[in-house]
Amino acid sequence: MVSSVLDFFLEIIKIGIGYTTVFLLASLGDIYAEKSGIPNLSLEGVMGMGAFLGFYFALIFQNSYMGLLGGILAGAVMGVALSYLVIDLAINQVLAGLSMWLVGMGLSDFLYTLSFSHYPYLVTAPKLPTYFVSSNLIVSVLLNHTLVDYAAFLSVPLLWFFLFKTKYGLMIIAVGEDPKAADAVGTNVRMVRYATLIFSSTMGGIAGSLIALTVGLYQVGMIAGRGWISIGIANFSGFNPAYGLLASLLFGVISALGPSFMVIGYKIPYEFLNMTPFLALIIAVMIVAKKAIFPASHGQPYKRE
Amino acid sequence: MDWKGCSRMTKTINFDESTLFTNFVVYLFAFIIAIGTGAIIIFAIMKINPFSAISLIFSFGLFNAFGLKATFQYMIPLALISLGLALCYKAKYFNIGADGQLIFGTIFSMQVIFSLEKTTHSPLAIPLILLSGMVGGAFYSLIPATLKAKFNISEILTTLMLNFVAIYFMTWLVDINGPWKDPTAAELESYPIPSYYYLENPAILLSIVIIAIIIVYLIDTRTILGFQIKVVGSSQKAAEYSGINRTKVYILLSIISGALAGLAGSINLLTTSHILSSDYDSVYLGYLSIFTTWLAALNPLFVIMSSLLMGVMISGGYFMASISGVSQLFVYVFEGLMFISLITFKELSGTLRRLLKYG
Repeated sequence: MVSSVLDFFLEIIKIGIGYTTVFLLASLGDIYAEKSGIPNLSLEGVMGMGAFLGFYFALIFQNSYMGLLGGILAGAVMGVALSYLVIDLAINQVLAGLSMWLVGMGLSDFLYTLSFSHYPYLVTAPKLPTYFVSSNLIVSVLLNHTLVDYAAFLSVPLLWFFLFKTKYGLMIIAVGEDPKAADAVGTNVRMVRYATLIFSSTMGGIAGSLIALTVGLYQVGMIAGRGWISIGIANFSGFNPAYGLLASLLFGVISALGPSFMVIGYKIPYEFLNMTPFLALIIAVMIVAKKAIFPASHGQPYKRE
Repeated sequence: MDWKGCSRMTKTINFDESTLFTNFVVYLFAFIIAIGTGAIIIFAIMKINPFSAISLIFSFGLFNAFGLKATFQYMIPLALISLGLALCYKAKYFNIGADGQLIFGTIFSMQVIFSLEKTTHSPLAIPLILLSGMVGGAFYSLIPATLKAKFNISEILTTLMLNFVAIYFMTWLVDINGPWKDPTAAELESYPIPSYYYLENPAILLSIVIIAIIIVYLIDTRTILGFQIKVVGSSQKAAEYSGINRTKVYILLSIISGALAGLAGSINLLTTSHILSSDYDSVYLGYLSIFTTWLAALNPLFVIMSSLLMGVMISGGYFMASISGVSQLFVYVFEGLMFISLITFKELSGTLRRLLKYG
């Protein structure tokens, strides 16, 4: 009994850190985008494209780090497209985000079935390697993760510092609060928004490629709402990278409950466990709803007169 | 607020007044661009002649008996969902949870069918089943609307989260140990519904859609609610100043759109699927209907045409998939591309109108 409880918690940590990294990367990107005044609603589609291109690159180069590059590439391209739509053409940000989501979701699954569905076996790509293999179970669960996991956790203080303590971070916040005033003091609003939106989509692309590369394969409908959960986490964190880490950890653990229960063979229908992150997210957003502070220009396009 | 006040306010609020002609040109451009991009993709990736592919899709979807039947089966639910969404999007209430509402409509109908089976078969059964579907959809749609009204939570997030919850719930119902799993079926499926509940008369289905279109059109143009929807959609401030109760508008909108999505699910159950399955073919009808709604320019009267186009593309896409090994997921790519070109041209229609005017 004791060992099974221990197994259960170790399993939660092991699986949960994988989920946390994905949520963390995507939500950190979205925090930056929302701070500059534009919600990145295309994140789910961007992650799908990141997953597909990450898988594809890892497969053809037989190197999982090239897969990450594929994720970055997919995210950046989607980010440029979305930025052009919402910043230069000033299209309704919700509609543009939703349309990019539909394109990304459809295109990634379509390209996968087109290229790989006629194979008689499951096509696998190299997985991201882990380096800290240890004979001690607890040490190995805590430390044996990919370099991306480490980088994601280490990026939190950096991104927090950049956003709140540097000139450029304050420029982002100023653009989000009052683009007109920011423009008046010489900030290039268009450039700032382009930068944050491309950054957020790139982070989404990395997060998506991570989903595919940790298991080394791609499945149709693989993202399964994790992009939307990341957007919710960004809202829940009040657009603060530090709280974003805590929220990602929370949702990482909640999402790991399902697989962990399955590992120890506990009989709860897995569908209910898979539901919990989505229900928990609604409750979480509900808790912070009363004091949620959105940037003042949130959702509004800015055009110079 | 009395009607005089309404008409005075209509003059002060700037509604979207693009003419039919510019709209037509905008849609034509969007369609050509989307078809063009789609054709290039078909040609580049699949190495088949794009024109023959497109003509194949349309000739199968429209002029083949099997294809036309399939088109019709997709068109009816798409049109019903889009009608509700058109009202929602007019109020800038971005309900993207039609899939979840459709699934809950189906589940409610199924529950009613299973409890009716024990009693005698009566002619009132089918209306009762459809009504229960509407109740199911409306119930599921009320959750995000309440959250929006009470806590001001973005309905985009909540409706989407609830889609996933609904899909998992449905999967549980038909899973190995689920309550509705048919033990004799190899797949994860529920018991089939009895054949005397099948609803396959196209005239009845079409008249249901037409009645729904008329009702939604009347709500849109002839009632206080329709006016309030437009005010809420055009400006939150205007709504506040004129004393419109936004909570009430959101709740009513969610009931209407949820009921229509639930009706679509229940019709889909009675006409096409006849079972509840974890591999539910119509799960993405809700996502597709986001697009058909915008393609219809949020006008209830055009919904039937945009749904027809989408239905042709889905059924033709499946046909093409079966003969050429190309994935039917192409429809989703095409829909997304068309959505992007549509909203882009819509935004640029001001420029376009000026160009058309001054040559």
